Amino acid sequence: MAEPTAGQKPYDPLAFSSQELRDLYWFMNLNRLLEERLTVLYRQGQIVGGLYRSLGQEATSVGTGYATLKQDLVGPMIRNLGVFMVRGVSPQDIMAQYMAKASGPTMGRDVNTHFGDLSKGIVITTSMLGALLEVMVGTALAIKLQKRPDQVAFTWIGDGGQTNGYFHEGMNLAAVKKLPFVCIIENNGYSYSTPNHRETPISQFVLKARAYGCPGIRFDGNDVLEALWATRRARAMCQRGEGPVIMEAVTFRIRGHAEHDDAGYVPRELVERWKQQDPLARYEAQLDTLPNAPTRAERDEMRAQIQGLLTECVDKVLPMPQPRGESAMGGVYAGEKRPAVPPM
Amino acid sequence: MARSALAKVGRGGGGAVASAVGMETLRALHGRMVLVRTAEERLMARLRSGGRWTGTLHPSRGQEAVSVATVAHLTDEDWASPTPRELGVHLCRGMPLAEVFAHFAGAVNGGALGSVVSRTTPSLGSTASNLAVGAGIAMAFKLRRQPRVAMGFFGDGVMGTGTAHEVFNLSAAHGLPYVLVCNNNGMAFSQPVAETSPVVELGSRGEAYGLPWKSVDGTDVEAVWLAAREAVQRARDGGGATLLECRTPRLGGFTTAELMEETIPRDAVDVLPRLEARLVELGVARTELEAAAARARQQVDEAVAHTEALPVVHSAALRRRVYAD
Ligand SMILES: Cc1ncc(C[n+]2csc(CCOP(=O)(O)OP(=O)(O)O)c2C)c(N)n1
Ligand SMILES: Cc1ncc(C[n+]2csc(CCOP(=O)(O)OP(=O)(O)O)c2C)c(N)n1
Ligand SMILES: [Mg+2]
Repeated sequence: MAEPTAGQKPYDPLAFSSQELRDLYWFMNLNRLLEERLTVLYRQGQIVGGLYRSLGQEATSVGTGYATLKQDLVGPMIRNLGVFMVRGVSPQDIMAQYMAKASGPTMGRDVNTHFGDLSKGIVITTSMLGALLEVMVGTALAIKLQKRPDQVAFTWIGDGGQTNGYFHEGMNLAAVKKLPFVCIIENNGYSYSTPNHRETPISQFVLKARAYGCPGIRFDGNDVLEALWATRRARAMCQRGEGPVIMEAVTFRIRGHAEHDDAGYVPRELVERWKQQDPLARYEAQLDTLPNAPTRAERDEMRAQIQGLLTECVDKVLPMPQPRGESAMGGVYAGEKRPAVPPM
Repeated sequence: MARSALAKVGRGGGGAVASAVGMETLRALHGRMVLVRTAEERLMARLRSGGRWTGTLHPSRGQEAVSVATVAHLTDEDWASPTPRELGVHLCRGMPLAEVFAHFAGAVNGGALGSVVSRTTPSLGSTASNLAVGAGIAMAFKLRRQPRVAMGFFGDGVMGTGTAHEVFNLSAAHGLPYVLVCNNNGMAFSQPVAETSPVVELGSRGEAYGLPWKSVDGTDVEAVWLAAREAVQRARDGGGATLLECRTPRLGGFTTAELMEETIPRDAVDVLPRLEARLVELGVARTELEAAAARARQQVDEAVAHTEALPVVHSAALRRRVYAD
């Protein structure tokens, strides 16, 4: 079981611009506060399906996502809400998705973050663990074949997901073909109720890189600056033709697999230890020491802005209709942008 | 590893380094390898001449040590899961030569390669699948707390498959009594290993799974035998699975149906003459080696004659060995 990482940091915290520091603060809080709103909606019975939270993992999503560039192509996991929003998906769209509203990105046909948006470089999120990685390796192969040296493909996979054969076939191909591909293994200690030590005898998932002869980078997944710094390094390696790169984010799932799961199988002390490593609290403390960081008053102001924005979203999305049954056949085939029968 | 292990044993007669394997065992391994080669040579000739001989052989020429020197450590209670390229595994585990030939000659008593008697699972056509079958057997041994070992075989081409990944992970996570033998003959069909694996030393991929591993020269019978002994012992002692890579040349081509002669390496070491030179160096008389070859020829002659005397299987018998009865 991974323990919180500590000690000397590999990066220079003074190397980030004040805009970057502000953006990271904004998105980490947006990620957390949006999930808090979604949790309330879940309890009210407004969410269709499960709610897969990323409490305690926001720094990984936001930091890695922020390191991707506009032209990059990404395939995030269900829990990577931060990646979606850093790349321009609005909280309103996320809410509409979770409530299966006809106005959402999949027009109510699918739920949670199971959607893509190529205009934002988001290829897709799929439910079948490992399958997404193969889609993103295919994307990286396309990048290479089309000779686009400025593009890199990214995907995220869990400590559990990487045991799947698809992961291996995809990584093997990426490594043999030296593709510009970054795979971020988000090690949050558990795969549903299965702890790390029952998944593998190895202590670090970054060791997976040894099977592919590719670079591996392990980082503190609860430190947003380190996540950003490490992912930028991985991206640069890919651009130099040293890819693919396997990264391991060391983090922890504070909530259950989803909100329906009380996670009684996780030792309480372990959760308590990781709560001390809350990525938002740690970032607040870090910002207090950085000269170009937003002040506390500015941060309070940002959080208030986010809350206002989220209240507007809830008020707007709640009364929206879900799709009509007759519209189900619309938008299935290429060329049909919207359903033949209006969804609402 | 082999070198240092040999050095420890000291020097035998004639200045040759004595074999850590032991002379009796080395002679026995030689006898089995000669039998496998002779049987395959005969099969090759028969299959390419047509008639009732209609199966496809994946020759193990140059790779016989991988089949022979590994299963030498298994007991009757253990199980092996070979690929079609490990005919020698079935033979060494006690499948009668005549039954093996019957498989290729459409004879009435023919069936799958592999049987409950030899405790070898069928040499399945779908690559990698036998590896998963072997893992299941190892899992059963573990759950039943039996001190037994399973040994699974696979080619370099299987290294990159999802099945191999899931089997490696499962074997490591559950500490299965499983020996994973990779026969790296440098080719998967027409693809050189550099096109299927991003790392040169295939065995080292064990590190990504927490599997102990070793990579040995598969044309060095003693090295294969010693490495397999260590792996089998580990599995039997409850120490879990091992990944053992044996590097070999594909001297016999891909299959009788697609020989791919252009892919056969010209200057590669051939395991059999190498072993024979070693035996001579250790004091074994040439006449003894010739006698072993003559014995093998005789066994093969008899088995061929026996097989060809049997009627060809007819459609009514096709259901045989399909269902449990
Ligand atoms: C191929 C496949 N098998 C099983 C599942 C069911 N499943 C969904 S999430 C999950 C656990 C995933 O754990 P992990 O990969 O560690 O990601 P995490 O949920 O911790 O972010 C499982 C088993 C699935 N979606 N796909
Ligand atoms: C699942 C599957 N895919 C493809 C094939 C076709 N095929 C048969 S043998 C082979 C190459 C196997 O190479 P390797 O694993 O290195 O074993 P070798 O033949 O060299 O012993 C392939 C691709 C198959 N039999 N099964
Ligand atoms: Mg997990």
